[in-house]
Amino acid sequence: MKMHQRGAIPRGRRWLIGGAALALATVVWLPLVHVFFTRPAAEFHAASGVSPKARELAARHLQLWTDPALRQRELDRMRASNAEWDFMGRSFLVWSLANLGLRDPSAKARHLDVIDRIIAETLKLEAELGMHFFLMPYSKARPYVVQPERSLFLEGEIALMLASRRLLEEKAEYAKPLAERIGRIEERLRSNPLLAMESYPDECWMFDHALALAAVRLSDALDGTDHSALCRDWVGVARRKLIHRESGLLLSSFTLDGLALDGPEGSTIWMVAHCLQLVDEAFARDQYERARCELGRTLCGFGYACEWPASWSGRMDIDSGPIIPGLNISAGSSGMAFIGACAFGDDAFVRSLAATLDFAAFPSRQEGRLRYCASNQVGDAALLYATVVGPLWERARTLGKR
Amino acid sequence: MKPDSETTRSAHVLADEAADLGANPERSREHWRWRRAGFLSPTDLIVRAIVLSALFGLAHWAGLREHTTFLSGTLADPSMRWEWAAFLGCTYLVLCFALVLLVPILLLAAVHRWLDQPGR
Repeated sequence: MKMHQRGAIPRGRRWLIGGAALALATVVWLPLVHVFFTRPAAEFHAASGVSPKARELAARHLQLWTDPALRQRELDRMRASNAEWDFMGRSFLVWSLANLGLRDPSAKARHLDVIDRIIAETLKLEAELGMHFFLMPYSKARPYVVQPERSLFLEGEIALMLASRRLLEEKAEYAKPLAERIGRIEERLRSNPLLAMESYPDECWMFDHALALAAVRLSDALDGTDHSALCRDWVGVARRKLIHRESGLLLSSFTLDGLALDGPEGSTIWMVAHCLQLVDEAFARDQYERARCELGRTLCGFGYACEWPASWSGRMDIDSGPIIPGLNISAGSSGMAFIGACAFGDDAFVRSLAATLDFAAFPSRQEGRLRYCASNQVGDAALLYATVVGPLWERARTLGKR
Repeated sequence: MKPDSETTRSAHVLADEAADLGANPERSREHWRWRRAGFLSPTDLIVRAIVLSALFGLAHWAGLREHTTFLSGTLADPSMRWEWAAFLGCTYLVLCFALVLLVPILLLAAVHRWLDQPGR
């Protein structure tokens, strides 16, 4: 009887009814999906103490530094794509552990041990194999304009590693290497009218400048030096010459003469805004808010970030990661957006980004350790940094006021 | 073209199946309801949801989840070709999205259609 009734409805009408049922189900389901993935922002980034996510991610990274075979496998995977990631994975982990140590003093000794091992190994590799070991092969394609060749990428990040370690707990033997690196950075910046320094031959990166300036501020807080004039001058030049006019966002890369190479990029600007918090708080917040407006998106409760603002079209590269067409979702920018959102207390964006992370980055948990299958060690280390960001900058501010 | 022996064997299987179903009218009805469920009918929608879930289960069991690391520009196995790794990762990505986004939609639509059927 039922079959007869169904058969009596014309096929076209049956399909129409079926299509309408699907459309209705879509309208009901899609806005609800995020509810199953959204958690309070404090589960990702806590104002004080260590969030559950930070604890799990840190456990995974600490395991990497206690299991040499596992670590080598991770490094091989990353270095096959980009040698920079090996270096940045170390940097983000050191900065994360320094923040973790400040958040949880009971774990400080363990974190200091890992930090010291990372720093020692990194300095050894740099000394023995040279800076190109941590750079992409095109660093050797032509000579650096300013000789002897130095990369702000390494100088700034190593300086920030040393300063972070010393802020967590003083280590006298790191004072001299830090002062030397800060001295070299200052000298090179002052020798260029744009206060710019190469990371690659005639290629200056905003990411590296912001990190280097953050290292300078941390060094000031530690050693009582004063580079406020350098910072002020740099921000002045950046505002005048290194801003993309349409979006008001800082350029990502430029030549020593100030010629723009890459416009504003999500994989750069979120971290830049965070680092500038130590250099010029108002400018940093302005950059974050512009980035949030130009690059941050939320769709059906899921947050993500684009790599470029609408007013700039760039090409997909190693920093942006694959771009999902249509929505212009960038894995690189979305990952780094966590750092900006956590640093500037944008809980709504953190919640929606974390929902996307748990949905689309494929978390894998094992004995309290968390990693994201869609990510890699440097990506997870950057996420770990986002979960604990805050105390290091706060400590630098407190020390700087004395 | 199939060899004669295989064609004959297939024909025999179908004939046996039809004979078996014909001998049991109730089973026959159920069988054809599943096999010939109208496009976008409740049964059709549920079958599609089950197939998608099974495909996802298979991909997960086969360890394709690890290959989603291509999204970060790295390979789960550096000795693997990039295109192949990306294909495996994309397959998992699509099936996972289908499981989370599409399967509930299919099931909701099936429930809606079932509730909407006259003479339910």
